[in-house]
Amino acid sequence: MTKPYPPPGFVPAESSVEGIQVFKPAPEQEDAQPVVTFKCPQCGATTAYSVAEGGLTCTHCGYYEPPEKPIVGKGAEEFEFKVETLERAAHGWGQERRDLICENCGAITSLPEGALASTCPFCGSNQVIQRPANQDALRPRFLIPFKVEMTACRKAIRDWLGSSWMTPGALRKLADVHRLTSIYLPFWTFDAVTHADWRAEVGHTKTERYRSGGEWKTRTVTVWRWESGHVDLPFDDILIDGTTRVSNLLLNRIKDFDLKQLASFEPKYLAGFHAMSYDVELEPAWDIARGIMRERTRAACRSQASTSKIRNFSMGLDFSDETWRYILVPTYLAPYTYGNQTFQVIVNAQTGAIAGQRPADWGKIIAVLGAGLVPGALTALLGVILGSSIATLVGVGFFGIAAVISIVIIVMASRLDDV
Amino acid sequence: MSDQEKAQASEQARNDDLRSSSTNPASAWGTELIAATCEHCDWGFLLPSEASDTVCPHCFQGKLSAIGEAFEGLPYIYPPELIVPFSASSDGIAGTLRNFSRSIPFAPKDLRAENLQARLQRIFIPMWLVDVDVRASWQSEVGFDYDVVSFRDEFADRQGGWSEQRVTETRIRWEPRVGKLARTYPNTPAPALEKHAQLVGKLGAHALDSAQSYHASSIQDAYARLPNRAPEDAWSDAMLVLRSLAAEECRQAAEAKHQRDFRWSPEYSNQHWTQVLLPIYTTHYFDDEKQPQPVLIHGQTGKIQGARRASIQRARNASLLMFGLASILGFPSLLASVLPILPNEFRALAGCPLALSLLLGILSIIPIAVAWQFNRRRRIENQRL
Repeated sequence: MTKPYPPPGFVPAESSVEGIQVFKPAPEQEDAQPVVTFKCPQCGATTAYSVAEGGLTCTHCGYYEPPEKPIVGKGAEEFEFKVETLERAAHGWGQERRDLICENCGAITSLPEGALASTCPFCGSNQVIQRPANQDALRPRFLIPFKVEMTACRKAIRDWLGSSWMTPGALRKLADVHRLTSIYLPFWTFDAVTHADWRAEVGHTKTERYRSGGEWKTRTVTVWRWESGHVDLPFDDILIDGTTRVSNLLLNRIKDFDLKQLASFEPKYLAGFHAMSYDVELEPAWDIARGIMRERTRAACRSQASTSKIRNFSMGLDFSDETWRYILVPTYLAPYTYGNQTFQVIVNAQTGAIAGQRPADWGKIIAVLGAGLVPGALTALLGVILGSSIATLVGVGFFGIAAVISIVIIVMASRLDDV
Repeated sequence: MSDQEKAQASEQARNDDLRSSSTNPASAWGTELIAATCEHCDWGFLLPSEASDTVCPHCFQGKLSAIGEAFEGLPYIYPPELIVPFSASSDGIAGTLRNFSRSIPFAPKDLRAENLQARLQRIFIPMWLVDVDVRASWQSEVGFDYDVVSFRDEFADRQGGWSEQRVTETRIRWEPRVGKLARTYPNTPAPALEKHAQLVGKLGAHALDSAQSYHASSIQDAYARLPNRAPEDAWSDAMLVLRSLAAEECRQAAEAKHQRDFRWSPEYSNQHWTQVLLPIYTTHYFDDEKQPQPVLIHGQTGKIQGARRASIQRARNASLLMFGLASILGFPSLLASVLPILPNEFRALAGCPLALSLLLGILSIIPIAVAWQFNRRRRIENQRL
């Protein structure tokens, strides 16, 4: 039996020599449909990704379809910093605003810039937008699937809102956290190895005796000696936010994602969720990651010095094996209103970690501060009136301690609604 | 019957025709030639009839004996289709020989440009060329260059922080390719001599574009070395050449810059073998032991190859002469300075010749050391070649 030619998976390529045919591996096929609509094959109802089931499900008939692509974890493919990729990334493609015609009801929805998935506001059908093939390198290839269910998340947010004594007591009950949005946010991961050669003057202290005014005295002097060394430091998956639309401060508090759960991208993971593409380009994100790497390398170099007294420090730093990935991570965004104000909460939908803004109950805080400060102040005042120095000292001492604690409390309370 | 077998049969038929048509197939060369072999190295030549009983131009150790009617023992005695003429100028050859014999410390007496020039002999060595049609399926990994961006940063307290330099590095992306090949490869070289690769390694390849159709006048006064490898023996070498030619063409076809792990399954047809004669000069000189040292010169480029040796015997004689002088001068001086019968002034004066003789004695090692070192260097160079 003759083998088929060309072998499966190969397509004809141009040949520049007459009499020689060339076949190359077929390029990765982009899904023919630019927009994937999720309909149940059994009942025709809209299907969505179920966090509990870990697959596509139909709430009407119970149809279940598991993801086809495996969890790849940290073995997920990484990409090099090709000149061509950087140039294309810098020109910002895939960011145009576009109208999406719902294949279910025909309604036209204007998608926000960077949206990757949509739920039709008229019929509720879920749709995932796939970018054209020429944007292959900079479309998300991997994501971490949702693990925390929305109901559990809502409860966790309520618990978290009520977990601080500095917030209003009724916050847990009165906060309107119904507008919970499950959304995949874009992140960049970066790997590299840094190779640094450093040189510095390192100070060694020693005690020496000297004679002054006819007497022997001792003094401490610093002797500076040149030292040098070499550091090789590997960095694995430095995570940098790919969006400016969510507070960087809040994202930093929840971004301990476990990348061992990375899965190959499949549109069905996004069914029923919102998803954003990056608006922080690859190169600026790499600048940030490189800044982190070089500062850590500098710290590693300085720690090699025989003492911590260092001056005239200099180092040369080479990067090698630099790679990047563009991934989507699962989060819940929960803007809630309390009083007339809106506050933001973000939840890591893989680990359940929460970060967000909470209103401070300044009345309660001032009462607590007063309760702490007044006894000390009164004691000190009484001591002055009665001429008791002990009472005065005790009062001043108490007041001082209470004042320090008060400052800490005020700083913490003022940061409650930082964003 | 395969194409290769057909080719062999056709060669056999041609030889048979040649043998039956003439009592001396060497006469088919169009000039009066006799077949001769060397008693020492067994190389077979065709040489002008008046040149019989001469020294073998290959080993220079044995005489060439005409084999007369017993030429059946010599394979492939028929004339070649092509010949590459000598094109190195005689002035150039003379200059090359002068340079070869120059700057050798304590050179053997016989190693002189005039001697080399006088013993110069033109010989032609044979090579096979095969034209063949090849059909094959092939597979290979081909490499494409691409640029990646990297950084080299500097930090200095004095400069107040970081400075960065963006650098571009070129890397290779390897991709698999498969394909089919249907090509004709004309004039693929295949050695007709067992020592062909050795000769080419020493002298360099010949430019075949100046090859001409064989004509009796082009071989006048020259010896023609006869092939000692049949086309069927040379075919394995030709296949290696064809493989590398095909690999290179497949790389070009894929428009790639690099290639590795080339594999193919070729089918060959329409083989056509041609013999071509390549020009070289040979000469020799005799070393200390009166052993001939062959010297080869490329007939086109004039590149020379041979052992350049210093004469250890002459160097030793020079050393002994110096040592003898040192002894003659040193012994009386030593006696004069030691014996108490001479006045003190004489004894003091004897110190100068004594020191001189000591210095001469020490320096007497130089000639032999220089010659030894020169020969050692040449030996290392030859091993590299």
